[in-house]
Amino acid sequence: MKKTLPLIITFLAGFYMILAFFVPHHAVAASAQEMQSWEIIIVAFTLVLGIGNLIQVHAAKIRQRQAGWPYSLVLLACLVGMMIIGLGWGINEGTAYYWLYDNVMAPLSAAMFSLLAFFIASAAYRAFRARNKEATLLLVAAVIIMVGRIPLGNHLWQHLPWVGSRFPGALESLTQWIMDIPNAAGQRGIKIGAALGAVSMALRMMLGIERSYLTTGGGS
Amino acid sequence: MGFKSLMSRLVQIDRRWIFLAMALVVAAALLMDLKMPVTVSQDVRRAYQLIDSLPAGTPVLFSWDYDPGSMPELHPLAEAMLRHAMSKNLKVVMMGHWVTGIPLIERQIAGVIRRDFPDKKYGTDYVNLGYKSGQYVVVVSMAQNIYDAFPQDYYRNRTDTLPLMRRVRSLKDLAAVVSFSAGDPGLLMWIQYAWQRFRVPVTGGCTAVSAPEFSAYLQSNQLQGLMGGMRGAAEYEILIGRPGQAATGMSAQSLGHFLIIAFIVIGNIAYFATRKRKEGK
Repeated sequence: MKKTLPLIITFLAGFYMILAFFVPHHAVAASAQEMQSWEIIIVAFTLVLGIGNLIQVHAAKIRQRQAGWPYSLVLLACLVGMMIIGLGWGINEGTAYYWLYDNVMAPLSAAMFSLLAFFIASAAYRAFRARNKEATLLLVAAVIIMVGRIPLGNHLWQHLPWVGSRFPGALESLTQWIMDIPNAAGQRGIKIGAALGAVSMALRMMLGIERSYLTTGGGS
Repeated sequence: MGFKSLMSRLVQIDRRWIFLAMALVVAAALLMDLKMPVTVSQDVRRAYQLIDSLPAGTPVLFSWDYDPGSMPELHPLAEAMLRHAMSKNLKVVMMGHWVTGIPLIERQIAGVIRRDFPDKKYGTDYVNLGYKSGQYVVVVSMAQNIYDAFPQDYYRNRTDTLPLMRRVRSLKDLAAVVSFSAGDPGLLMWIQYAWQRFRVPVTGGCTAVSAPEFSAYLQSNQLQGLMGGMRGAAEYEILIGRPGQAATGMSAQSLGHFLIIAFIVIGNIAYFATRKRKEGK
């Protein structure tokens, strides 16, 4: 029963939502809307579960003095601190929560993202090598896109002797062609493959073939 | 020092020199406030035209689907589009799918609307619905009944009491959805649900790294224009006649790109020079 009941619920819920997509009757739409409201509430509860899990994992790490435990302490202190400040004094503009968000969280997050530029530069220098035909093709396409996607690239291209004056829009056209043809074709293939995979996985779950979501591990 | 030994040293260069070179180039471009000529691409023009063609008073939805991590790239983009919508007297319904990004809406309300459009009134000209967990379920729910999805706005006002929201009972009452997207949930989700299911035109912007993902949607007109990263924002700023943060940022990005290309070229020269030497031995 522990497994059968969730399987029945999964099948009925999945089947009903598919039905609601194809049947525009008011009664079906209204009940599907109700189910969607339940889903929003359930998803909100997963945030609570996530916080609980985070506290459990990091509290154990601190208790056992595992490697890097001071970071876990900082994480929990920030989590609890922000929660108390947010729940106690609100989160709108002018509150302590907003001040911390604006002056601590936002600059730190932006700084983390900005580090990408440095790592990309280092990785490009060390790893982007024309070792074989495929790598050379990728490298040439990447350089064309990098130059063609910035204003300075097109500006310099137009001032190149001979080619710049004869083919002023060639770099921009080539960049656009790479984006529109090989890139879009590849992206479409990936999307169609992912969509078919998602549909087949949904069907497997609805029909009870895929049951890994019922357990903490293992397969169907 | 001979050429080959120089190449050999270059292959093993300490990566901190690379970091330093990048930092110097980006800082110099920003400090010198270099402005570079920006040409407007077709994708950005389409996004602009979608907003520009709407009559005054038309309600549109702006979704801030990013967090502070992507703020340097997406904030100028959102600012330019919000400024355009406000100058066109459109009614803007704001929300976001990233819980940590919602205070960024507040920042833009303060930085764009309250500062440059002080006559605009909350509840009548713009509304901030805030965040609701559920991702695509929220979008579908908004299409059925927006008051069910958002019974209260960000400031805990009842949504159905706000004058603007009395006109917007469903997602389908909106003329367009504009998403500023750093990933999932974001622009792709809006295309799949708002456009594909409910035929509400979708446009927006994304980080430069995710722009290639949307080429297919642009070609099939499922996406009505796109601003890709800082360049998209710079182009939009040109279109609204107000070059700002993005136009300045483009100079840093341009020089950064050239530096990376220089590193690729030097890295490859050093690689082939040392490889030949090894093979020769």
